Amino acid sequence: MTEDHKIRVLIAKVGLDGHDVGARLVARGLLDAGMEVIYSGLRRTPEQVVRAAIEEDVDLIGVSILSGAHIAHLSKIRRLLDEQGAGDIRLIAGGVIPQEDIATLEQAGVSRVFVSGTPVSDIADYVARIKACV
Amino acid sequence: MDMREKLRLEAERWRREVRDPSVHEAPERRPQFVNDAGNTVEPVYGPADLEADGFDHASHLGYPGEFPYTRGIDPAMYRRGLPVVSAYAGFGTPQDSNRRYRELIELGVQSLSLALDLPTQLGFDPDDLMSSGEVGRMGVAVNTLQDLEILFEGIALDTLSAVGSTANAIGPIIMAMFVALGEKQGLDPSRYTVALQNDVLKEYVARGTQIFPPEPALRFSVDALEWCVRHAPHWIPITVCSNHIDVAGAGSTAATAFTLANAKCYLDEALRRGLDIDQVAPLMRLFLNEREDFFLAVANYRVTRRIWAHLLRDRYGARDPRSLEIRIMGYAHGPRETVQEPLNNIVRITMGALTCYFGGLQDLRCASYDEAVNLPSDEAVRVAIRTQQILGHEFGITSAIDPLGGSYYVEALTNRMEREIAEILARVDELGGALGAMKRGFIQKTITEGASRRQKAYERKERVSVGMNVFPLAAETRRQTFRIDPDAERQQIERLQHLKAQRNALRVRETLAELEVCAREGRNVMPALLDAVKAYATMGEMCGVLKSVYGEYEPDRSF
Amino acid sequence: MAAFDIRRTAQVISAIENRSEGADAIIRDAYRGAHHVPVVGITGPPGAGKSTLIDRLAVHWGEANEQVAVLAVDPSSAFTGGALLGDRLRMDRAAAHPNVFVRSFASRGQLGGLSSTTIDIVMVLGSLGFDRVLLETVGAGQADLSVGMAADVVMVMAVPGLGDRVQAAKAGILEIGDLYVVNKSDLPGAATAAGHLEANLDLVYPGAAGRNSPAAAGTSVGGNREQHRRHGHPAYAPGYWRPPVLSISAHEGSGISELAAAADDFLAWSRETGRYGDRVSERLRAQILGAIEGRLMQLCLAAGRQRDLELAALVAEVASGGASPDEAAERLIEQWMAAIRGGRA
Repeated sequence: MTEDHKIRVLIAKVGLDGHDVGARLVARGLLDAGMEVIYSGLRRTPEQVVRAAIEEDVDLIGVSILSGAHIAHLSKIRRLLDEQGAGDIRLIAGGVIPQEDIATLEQAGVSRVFVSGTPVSDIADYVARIKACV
Repeated sequence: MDMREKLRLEAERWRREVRDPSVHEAPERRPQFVNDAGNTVEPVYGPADLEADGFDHASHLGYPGEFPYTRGIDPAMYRRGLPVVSAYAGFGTPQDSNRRYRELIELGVQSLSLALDLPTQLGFDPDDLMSSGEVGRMGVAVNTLQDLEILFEGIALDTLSAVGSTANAIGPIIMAMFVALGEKQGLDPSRYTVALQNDVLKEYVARGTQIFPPEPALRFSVDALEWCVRHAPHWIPITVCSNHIDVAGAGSTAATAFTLANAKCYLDEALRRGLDIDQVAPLMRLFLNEREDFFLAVANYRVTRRIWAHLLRDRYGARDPRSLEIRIMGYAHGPRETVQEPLNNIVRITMGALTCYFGGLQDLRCASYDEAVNLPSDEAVRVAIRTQQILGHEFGITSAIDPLGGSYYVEALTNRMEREIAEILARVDELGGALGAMKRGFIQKTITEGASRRQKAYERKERVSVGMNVFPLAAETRRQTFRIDPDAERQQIERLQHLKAQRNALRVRETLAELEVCAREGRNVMPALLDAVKAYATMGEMCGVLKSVYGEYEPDRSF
Repeated sequence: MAAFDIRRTAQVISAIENRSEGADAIIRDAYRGAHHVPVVGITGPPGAGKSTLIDRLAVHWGEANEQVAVLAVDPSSAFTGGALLGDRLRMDRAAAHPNVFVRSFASRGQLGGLSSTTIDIVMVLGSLGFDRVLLETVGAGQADLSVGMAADVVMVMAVPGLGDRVQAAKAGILEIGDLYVVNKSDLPGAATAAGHLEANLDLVYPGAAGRNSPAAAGTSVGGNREQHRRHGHPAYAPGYWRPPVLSISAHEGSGISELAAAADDFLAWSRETGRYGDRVSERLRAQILGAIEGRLMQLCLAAGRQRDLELAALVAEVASGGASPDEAAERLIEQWMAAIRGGRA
């Protein structure tokens, strides 16, 4: 048999905001880069995101959040992943996230925060690169 | 040789003999200049361009206050009164926001629009699991009439030009709360004005705070409109918005077309209920703004008035001039605000506000320079209000009406937009109107494709954002962002629980039962909502009842 | 907490999907267990509400204390090989249920999304203790025929208003459906859609929905061999199955338990009449043939290191009228076989 490993990514919207254009653009960009992208839909709870990530066995979760509740939600997602034996699933975030929260998020186990305006191709490159390192 | 031909030849001569040789010698900065609508921008516009469109002063422009209202709906415009200074504000607990509102009024704000937190907009009480971490964040929590009472403590509704909110899926509930608050302040609806967004249709495609499926949600929104026709005909129960659709990616031309299609849905539903077009149309308002191109923005405001006037007269047979004169509000942001170097956004917002003055808008609010990052700080809110005041009073900007009218470029853009909007509107009609076009994914597809096009243009630097994709700063100086009291959520939950223990539980049950019966029988729910609100039923309780009748919206999978 | 090890289940599926090392052994062990769990296939046009229905059915059987796996297949992009998988979005209830496991798949080049890998995964899920698999596949058309192969009971969904007559009359769907589901029974037109389906079924199957004894002699019987093979010949013992048409509202959850009961009744009938075993055999036969094809192809490709060049030369020859494609293939295979025999592989 020949190996046929595709990168699988969960793009998740947490928080109550309904702005998913960014999330969908990123999902599209990753699709164009040949990845398999699972899109969660709006308003997922951290519990739902983690269960989906584990069931779908993704390599990485990209969380888009614009509601301002990013620290609470992202920390919780990281904690639940670790508790459920999925410490290897990477977590990245994007959306409206103030500069000074980035360090806090990184300490909470978010691998990378992409501020708004980041080219989608940069995100795809980043995802492809970390997968290559695993 | 006729006039048109003569002008065309003259323009060609200039291009051939003067411009082309010069550009051949030293090329232009870009091979092509393209605007957000995807149209090539010519080097210069002249009389030949207007002639090509069959430009006719009387039918295309007319004079201010006259059909087709391209130049404005008021014969005196800003010479009589400047656009209303509005502010969109709210955060944390009602007490926090009340303080902010008083400061805003002190600074000269005449109209307040409540920014509601997401749990409120989605009909969740703060103690709902879904609300966790979100209470008071994107706006203020309004869970019961009590919250509104606190928000307006020391602020009489009749001292403001208008009060309102971005309530959409919950629009009629917020309206009922304002009516009840008015009663508490001893004011008849005729003494003050409520101006709501209550434009639920765009939520499904662009803003995302829908609760119910589209059809019952549409009827629910129109309940507020119908109630106003009978009880408060000077209120603005629906403000149909292009802003969110444009920003989501559609571009201003398509966004305006979709907005007009949505407006038609509301009007048609009202007519279905036996209301007359001249009873309904004067209560409508549009919220337009264009954030990608200065001149497209000005053209957009002007052409939308013209299209509206024709639509209402020719299709709906409206006769009252107030039905034909569409009021427009704007929210000035200017080009894409940046998180980096937020002070630069003051310049962008100023340019955005300028388009509103040149476009003849009735109601204007300026964004705050730090809005891209967080809720506006005190300083940023003050600068926003000052921006509007400076533009209104200084530098002669508001002395002459429609100062860009007759500009070859602006009129050419205006005519082009008119054609393109008509084409998209016809396509939407073919698909069964806004609801049909939405169900078939046409609107969503237009938005997603546009967003992707914009993103690519930005990545290729065909679209420029100073400090972001060109001239970026290596190291960013950190600015203190405005923080909401982290304890707001707990306080809000506590106060709600306290209220629940005190209110007359029987009365709450009765009014909610009556609301359910009303909704089930398809009657206008406004009177029942008013009773429930006065009994201090919560937003979550009222939405829960309505969900049990209307159902809940289940998302579609459309990329 | 779920009743099974979600993480392990998910990783085993990935291993098979990716053909990772160790996958062979897992698959081998699964087939040795010979535990053939019932597979419920759900198909229908886009917009029919398949995901919402699966959400409801999975929870229904999960509540009955079965361990249920949902496999939702979406197409991969032919250009980039990537895929956008969004079915999960409408399976909120199932995705949160402790007895239900939901997994999205990209078709990775397989028509209709189903492949021998899907069948291997179903076997492995059986060995992991799942009691039932729900399989969602995309779209209508000929690719759907594979769901008839992969599933033990096939539900075909129709939506009122989406071209009822065409849907009902389409030869393919009237052959593969063991049950027909008209979604959104509250919509006007639901009754019409159901009526069209029944009318079409009348032409093939006399009698009432579900189990039937052989029809009385002299009754006119229509239908084709495929239909008789799946559902029995109306004229002969032990009787036949007339696919029922059930109206549901996936959105509101009405009609779900009736639908689930009908599916289970079909499975029982299928077992009693031996047809269940026939379908399993048919599937395994296809798996074996698929495996042979794969191995032969591998053998040939390994033998023909110069295959691109050889192929290009033959394309040029066919283009210039020197050979037909069939002759070219024959020549290529002869070369490869010679290479294999010559031990140059």
